[in-house]
Amino acid sequence: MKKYALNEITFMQFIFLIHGIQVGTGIMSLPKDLAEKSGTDGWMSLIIGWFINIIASYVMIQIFKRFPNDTLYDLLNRLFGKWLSLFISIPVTLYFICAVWLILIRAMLYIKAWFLPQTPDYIVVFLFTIPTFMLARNGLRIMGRYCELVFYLTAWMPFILLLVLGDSHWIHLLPLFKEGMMPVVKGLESTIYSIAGLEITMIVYPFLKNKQSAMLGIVIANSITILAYIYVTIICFAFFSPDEITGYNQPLLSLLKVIEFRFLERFDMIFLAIYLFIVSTSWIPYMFFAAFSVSQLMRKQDHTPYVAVLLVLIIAIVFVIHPSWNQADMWSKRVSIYNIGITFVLPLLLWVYIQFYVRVHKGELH
Amino acid sequence: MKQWKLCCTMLILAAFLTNCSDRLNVEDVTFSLLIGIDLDEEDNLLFSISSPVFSKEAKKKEEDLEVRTNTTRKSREEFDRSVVALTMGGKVQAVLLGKRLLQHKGWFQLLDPLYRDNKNTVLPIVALVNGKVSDIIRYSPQDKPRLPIYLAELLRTAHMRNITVNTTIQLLHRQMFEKGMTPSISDLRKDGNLKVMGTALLKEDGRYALTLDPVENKLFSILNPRRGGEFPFTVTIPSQSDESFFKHDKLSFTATDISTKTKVNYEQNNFRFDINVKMRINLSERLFAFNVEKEAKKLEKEIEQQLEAQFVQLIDKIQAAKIDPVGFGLYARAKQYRQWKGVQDRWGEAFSKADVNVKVKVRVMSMGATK
Repeated sequence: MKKYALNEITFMQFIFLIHGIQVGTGIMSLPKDLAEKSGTDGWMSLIIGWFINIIASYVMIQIFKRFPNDTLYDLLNRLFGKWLSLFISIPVTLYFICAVWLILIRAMLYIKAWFLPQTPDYIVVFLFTIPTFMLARNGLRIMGRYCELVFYLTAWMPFILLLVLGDSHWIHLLPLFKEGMMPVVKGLESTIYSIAGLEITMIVYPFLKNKQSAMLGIVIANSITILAYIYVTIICFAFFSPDEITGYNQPLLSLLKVIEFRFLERFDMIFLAIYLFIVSTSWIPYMFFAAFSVSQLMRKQDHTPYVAVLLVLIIAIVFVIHPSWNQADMWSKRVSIYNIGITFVLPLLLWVYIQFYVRVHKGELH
Repeated sequence: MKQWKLCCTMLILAAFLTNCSDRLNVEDVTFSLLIGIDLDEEDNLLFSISSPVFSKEAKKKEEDLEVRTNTTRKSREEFDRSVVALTMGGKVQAVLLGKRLLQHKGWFQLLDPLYRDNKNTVLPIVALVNGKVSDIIRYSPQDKPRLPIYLAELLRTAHMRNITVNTTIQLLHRQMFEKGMTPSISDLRKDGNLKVMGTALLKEDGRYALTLDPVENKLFSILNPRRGGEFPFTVTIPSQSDESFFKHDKLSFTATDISTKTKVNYEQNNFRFDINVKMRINLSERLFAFNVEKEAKKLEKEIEQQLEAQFVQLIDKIQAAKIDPVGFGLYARAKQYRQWKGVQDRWGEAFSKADVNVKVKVRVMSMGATK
């Protein structure tokens, strides 16, 4: 019984799907967030974040290995029944919706601040929704292909940052462990928002063509993400003085402002415009998962109408409340706490529960 | 049906494409290429801009404007009242600060819009004007290109010979906020012509401290890890002094492949910096007779002594002013973090008590085409 065979995704698509979802707008302000919490040792928190992510994904894989054809919703139905499972599946669905909302709002705020200060916010969001709808109404395979394509198209972008190396001061990074381990652990708080995205494994797993290599895929995806983050963070730390970096809201963009050629000024603008593609590989799959989750809750096969409904809802809310930077920051703090619940706590509880469940229902699992 | 749908979508999309209500025609823009901030005799803030005029009828190549107001952003409003078009800060080449302005702390906050507004560039060069800023802004030399271009080029090329530093708005931000170093900006003066005086060193709070002349600036640039450009030196070799009218005891050379190593120790409640400077030199001028082939070692020794003496003078000067334009504080933080933490908020004072030793190692690479 292979319910999701039609939309199977390959190993590469799985890697870039997770990587695409993880890297969003967080990278712009990540160096500042880390510097505020843990000074120039902040990049080490990313390594701890990587490690924690690997553990969490190991737990997820352990759960879904037993039920290789189940998404999270199927599994919840199986474990808790049709109605009880709603207690978990509704919050998970809400989480995906919040994630789409947050990333869309952030992207909109960036576009408004850098390119279109006079354009109304709901029009910017509306323009985002057109490609979002075109992509998210399709199946997971299209998501995977899109993420893979965007990764290849934007793989040159990190190298642009090498242009500022001439003005870097590596001495800023010394000494390591300035204040001991505590600040490094504290920095973890600000990394959580940026490295969120693993939770989709719980839905993607049955779609995987090659389930044995799922763990490897997650490790690779995570490593690419964390390496990109460490790279950006270290370059920002080396360029800006540790005393000044906390004064910038988006150190990465302020850094790009310095890059100037004889024939081209304001490279940050071009970078941000192209970076929007990378951000889109975050919100479009989240949109898909949100609509997919709603369709699961409604017990329908087709998720397309829900994509449209959610998008219209988002435009309407933007039209009514006109989100500001401060609001977006506040929301992202809440969503990252929410994310801890979904990515780390939920799989752990499920795993413990399944240990009992398996013992009780021996032999009638499949 | 499907085509009808597609047409509809295209039409709706096209409606948004025309949404360019915030566009700006180039004719409607006044590019301020120079920004000047100064204090007048009654200590009122004085903002001035110089912007190019693109008109055949205009006799002068640029228009200059001066207003009295209290913030940079408000000055833009004042400028808009009288210039031909809307003032824009995206193309600024240089920011000139009057010396009177730099007598007071807190002037740095006036530059806030240059960092805050995304439309502004962070790459204009910052220069201190020894005298009135308006004298420079109003200056329009007949034999030079447009003033902003001329000024920016002058400062840039002066930096290539290490006559002055190349501090951009971005770099100034770093130097102001970094606790382990104090700012250094170009020093400019107008007597008849524009003249680069060297490098103005500022105190931790941004007030003017002292000016390094071009010779001192070269030594200063050597200590700076971000060095570039040419390092031409002329030194006196005491052993070759003679009684003749011209006193042929001078030697000129260009230093290349300069490298420095800085060691930091903490001894007897004071920081101790040991800096080893290594350089290779090529002779470019020698007024006395000397057998470089055989006695290169002797020459190297004397050059080293001369340079070391100059370094001692430079270090004494900046320590007396309680400033650290080189950024020794960065080394202190990296190597002696515990001690640094205690003094980081009054680093200038702590550095003035530090023991700084500069050792120079010179190697003559070539004596040129003649013996």
